Amino acid sequence: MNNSDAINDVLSRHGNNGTRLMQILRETQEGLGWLSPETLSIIAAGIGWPRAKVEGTAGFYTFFHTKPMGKYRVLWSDNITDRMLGNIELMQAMCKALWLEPGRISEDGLVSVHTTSCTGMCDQGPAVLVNYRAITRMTMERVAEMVDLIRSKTPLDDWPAEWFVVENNIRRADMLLSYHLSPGDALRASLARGAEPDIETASNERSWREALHAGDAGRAPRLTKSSVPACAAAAVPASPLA
Amino acid sequence: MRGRGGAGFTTGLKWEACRNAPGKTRYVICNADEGEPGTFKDRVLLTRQPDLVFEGMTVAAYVTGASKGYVYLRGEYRYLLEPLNAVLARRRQDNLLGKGILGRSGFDFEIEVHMGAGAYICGEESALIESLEGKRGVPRNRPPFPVTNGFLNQPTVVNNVETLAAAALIAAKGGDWFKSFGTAKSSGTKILSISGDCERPGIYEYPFGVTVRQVLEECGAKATQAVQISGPSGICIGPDEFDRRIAFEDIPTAGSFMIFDIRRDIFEVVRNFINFFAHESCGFCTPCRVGTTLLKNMMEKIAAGHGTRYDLDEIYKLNRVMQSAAHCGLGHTAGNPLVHTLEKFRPAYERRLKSLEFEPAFDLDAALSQARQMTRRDDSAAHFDSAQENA
Ligand SMILES: Cc1cc2nc3c(=O)[nH]c(=O)nc-3n(C[C@H](O)[C@H](O)[C@H](O)COP(=O)(O)O)c2cc1C
Ligand code: SF4
Repeated sequence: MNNSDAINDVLSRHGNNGTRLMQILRETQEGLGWLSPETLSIIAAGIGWPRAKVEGTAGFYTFFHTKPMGKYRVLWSDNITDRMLGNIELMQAMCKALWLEPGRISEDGLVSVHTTSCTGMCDQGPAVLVNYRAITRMTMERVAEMVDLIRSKTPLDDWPAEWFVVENNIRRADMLLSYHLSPGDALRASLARGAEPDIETASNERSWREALHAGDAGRAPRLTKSSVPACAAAAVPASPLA
Repeated sequence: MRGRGGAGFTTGLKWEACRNAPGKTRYVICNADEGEPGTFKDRVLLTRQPDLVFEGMTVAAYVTGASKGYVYLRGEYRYLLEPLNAVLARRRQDNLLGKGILGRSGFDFEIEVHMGAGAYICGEESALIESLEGKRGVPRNRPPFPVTNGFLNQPTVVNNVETLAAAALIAAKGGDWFKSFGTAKSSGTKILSISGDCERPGIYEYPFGVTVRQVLEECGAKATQAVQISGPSGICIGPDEFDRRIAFEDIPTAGSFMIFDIRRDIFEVVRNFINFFAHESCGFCTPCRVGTTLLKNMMEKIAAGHGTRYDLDEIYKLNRVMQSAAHCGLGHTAGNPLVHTLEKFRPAYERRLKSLEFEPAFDLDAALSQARQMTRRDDSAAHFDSAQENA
């Protein structure tokens, strides 16, 4: 299958739908390695968007590349916790062994090594992404082995399976993590009760940033009562589905 | 219905607003972008409890009348895509998704997993929606909010993974049971992602109200100097605050809990966070694009030993500008780590300013030592004393 067939395959899988561009770009890149100018043109034509708009999306996200980044792209998670576990020394050793500088692609076009924002493996770092697949618990030994695997162009699927193991490391489980849901039970209970779970309680569980910084951390983006659409601030009517 | 702690959208309020907003189609989005450094609890929830999360989305669909759901999964968690799709396929087979769910005609709902591609800003709900529409992840102007004008301009609920899992639990077990966990104003539990200097990093789920001290004891943290709670945009606290509680009424958190013991240099911690914000600023608005870069440059200047008190004052000024003029939450909070630690860990900065505070750049007194030797004098008048000189 040539490149344009591969791209058209992806496009038709997504119904040539532009709102699915992120998935189209990712799947294309997973197949072809990078997003060349020709690739972007075919995609733009396929979804009927101006090319510049497709390019805008492709250029915005750090995981899409519009330049070749090598057959192997190694990204070191660079959260402070990775730093505390020695990621910089490991990355430097890797670069030295591969004769390249961070952020640059090797002369033979084989490999590039760089840092990336926290990959969410802080409890089992230092972590890397190789071609966007997570590898945890890096050590000097693993760096040396990885360099060999890259040099010998070993496909990622043949790398040691234990490298790709991501632990859950659940040390304390309470209601959420220990609950054994028989799939469908919560839904059945909802249907029986006639819609909404206890709204007043659920409200406590909003988890995120809307509630942050209310204390001593300065101003935060905040939705205040007055900015809530009027229909929501008013008394809650019965569920139409009840 | 009360907003909590003077802030924010409550989940129920959001769902009601979405249900009541006019529109053709409604959407439920599970925010699994989990980009805040130090957070990994959504990854574990999606690994351990995917059914609970999907069921929460389906309950949300039932309540709001939504017919389509998306999980926006961060690109870093690409390896979860196939396992999650397998769970969705099973649920479809069991008639927990699709048409006429559980035999209820008219209750149609589908869920699809969409991958992000390495942009922290896409955790912000309106940027997430832009990204889901195939565009650059730039936050929208709000209002209008996603509940009325979200995905494809239709009413949309965006909730965090943990919120949706908890919603399923409430649906299954009832609100009263749920309320029996936690504190008066924060019912239920909170999952903490613990990393940094401790013996047992990992995932800890606690009822709301647990003290920071208890958490530190249980994960085996020793000689702790500071804890960064809720990631770089959250707060940094020292030992005198370890009796504070994890709860909306005290320290609210998205779940990141990074521990630094006394060996660590808080300045380097903050420098890492500032670099993160500078890297992740989407570049759309000037206060944040320029502000985060200026903060980064200042940190480098201080690190190189060229910082002065003037720079510290500039940091406060910049932070005020960003808080008032930035377009979204990233810009509003990017200065937080600096401002907090300047208050609580000032020596970490002043240590680096010292050389300049005691200018001049070359030591006059040392230069005089040869003359002292020649004249065999070592009394106080033979020494260069800047304080005297200035007087
Ligand atoms: C810069 C920025 C990044 C964010 N990242 C996330 C994220 O990774 N995950 C998340 O659930 N919410 C994130 N949020 C908050 C979302 O905008 C939104 O409030 C949240 O998903 C709502 O879910 P909840 O009501 O269930 O807490 C972020 C907000 C901002 C301003
Ligand atoms: S504040 Fe920063 S991240 Fe938010 S829109 Fe402006 S530039 Fe983008």
